[in-house]
Amino acid sequence: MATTTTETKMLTLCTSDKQQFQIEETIALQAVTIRNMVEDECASNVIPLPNVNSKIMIQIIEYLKKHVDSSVSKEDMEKFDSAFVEKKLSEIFDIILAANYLNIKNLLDICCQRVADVMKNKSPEWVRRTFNIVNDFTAEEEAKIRKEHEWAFEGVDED
Amino acid sequence: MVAWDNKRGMAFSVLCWAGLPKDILDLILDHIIQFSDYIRFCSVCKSWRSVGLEDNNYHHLHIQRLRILKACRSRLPMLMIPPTINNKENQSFYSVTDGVILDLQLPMSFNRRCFGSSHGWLFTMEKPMVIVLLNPFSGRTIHLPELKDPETVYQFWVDKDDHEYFVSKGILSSDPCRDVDNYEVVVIYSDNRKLASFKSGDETWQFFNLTKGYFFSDIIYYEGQLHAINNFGGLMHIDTISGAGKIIIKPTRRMECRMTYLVKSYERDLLMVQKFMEENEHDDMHYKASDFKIFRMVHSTQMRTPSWVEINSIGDQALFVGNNYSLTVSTSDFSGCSSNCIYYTDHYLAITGHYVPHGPDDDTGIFNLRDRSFGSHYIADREHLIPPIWIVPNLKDDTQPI
Repeated sequence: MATTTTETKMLTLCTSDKQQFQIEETIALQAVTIRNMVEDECASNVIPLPNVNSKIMIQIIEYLKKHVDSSVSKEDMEKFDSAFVEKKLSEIFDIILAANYLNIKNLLDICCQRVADVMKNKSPEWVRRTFNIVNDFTAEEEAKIRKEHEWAFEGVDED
Repeated sequence: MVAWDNKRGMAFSVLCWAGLPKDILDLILDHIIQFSDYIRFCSVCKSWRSVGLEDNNYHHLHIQRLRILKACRSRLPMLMIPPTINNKENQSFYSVTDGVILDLQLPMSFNRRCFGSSHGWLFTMEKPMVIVLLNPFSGRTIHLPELKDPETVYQFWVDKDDHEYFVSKGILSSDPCRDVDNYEVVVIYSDNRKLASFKSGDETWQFFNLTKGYFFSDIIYYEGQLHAINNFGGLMHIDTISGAGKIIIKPTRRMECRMTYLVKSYERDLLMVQKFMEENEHDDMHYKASDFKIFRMVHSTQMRTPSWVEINSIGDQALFVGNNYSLTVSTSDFSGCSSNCIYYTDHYLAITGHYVPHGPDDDTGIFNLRDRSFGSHYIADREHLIPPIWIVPNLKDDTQPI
């Protein structure tokens, strides 16, 4: 990359699997964690991001690049966001943790929204299967919980 | 210490959805709108439940939800305390068992008199003759067709600011969210206290032309059928399909009182509650309860028709009466709710005319049958715009269109 001929300031991010990503500073600074590191000058050359792997970093950079572009209309941005979260839940999970660590509020928000949407009108059994969660209630506890608000368990989507 | 998974670049401890940090689970919760989704979220696993039900959470939305959930779990009526001139936005609720007021920010606020409260739905009339059913907790509304009686009494009310006084009470046969295609609305309307009904799916109201201008004071579904009472103990059963009325117990002068309610007891008996009132010596439009009497409908072998027999105790029960669908709760199930008592609240009555706020002097209280004494529950410290009303919160928020 011909970084020397342009005025754009670049940052190098290093992921947990030791991959390096060179991106424009304006793009990277949308992540509050990176901005804090740059402002505190504790990141001179390479910013280490031990909590994010390269596979997730690529997706996050895609998101940040779109969101730094002020020419994108609000509608187009919403379209981009809703398409962006159409991923497997395991990927959403990784992005949530990375967005939380990097402190990218919007990204975290749209991913949490996706999770909430997935669970909409679904039974707890379906949610457990889909999210790979072990039911750690005893049969008695579960029966009691259901009885408290029986109506909430009626009319959920067919599994 | 947290171990790191180098391949994925994150801590082992959070490698599953159940183990997500609390602040992330809180964020997911923030995006869950429907109560039913929220309740099911809390039923997935222990960690999600503990985040969902944590009561020292700082999120306003979260605290709100917990309060409402707690109130609903008990299925106890709460007194909806209407807005005041200074605070038109928030709706408050008084919990009888806890003796506290919950200030809630609900999906909707309203400041018109509610003339019914049934299965968690309130009856109001924003536009003349259009009754709107609204669930203050889910924010859902159902607009009913215009209530235009064949005698055109409605025309007298149509241009008036207080048009909602055209209807004195309304009830529902069942929860419209649960019984989308099979619910019925019945109202007592006009100065002559007549009855009209609306069935889900219909386009118009059905007006009942019953014999001898019966001035009805309360209505209830008993054994699946509509029953109506007047202030002389006259009980009528109305077939809402054919529109025919049948007198079950004849009205008599000696049974006269100011206000009569019909309640189904815990033992499934039909009870008639009579409210006697006295006017304030300084204000002849200000009536307050002076006595209550309760009668049970009895089928005796000697008489062909049932009759009212006065009872002096209702045991481990409490009655909730007002402009709501009259209710009974078992006090052995709810500590904090006094047994053998009638919890009553102010509402519009023919003798008193429109509701006039009297602050602490509102006609609201507890009548104890044991020693026939009067006590208090919520005491208004301000003058409300509309009378308070009992409501059993209903969180069912079916997303299907009604």
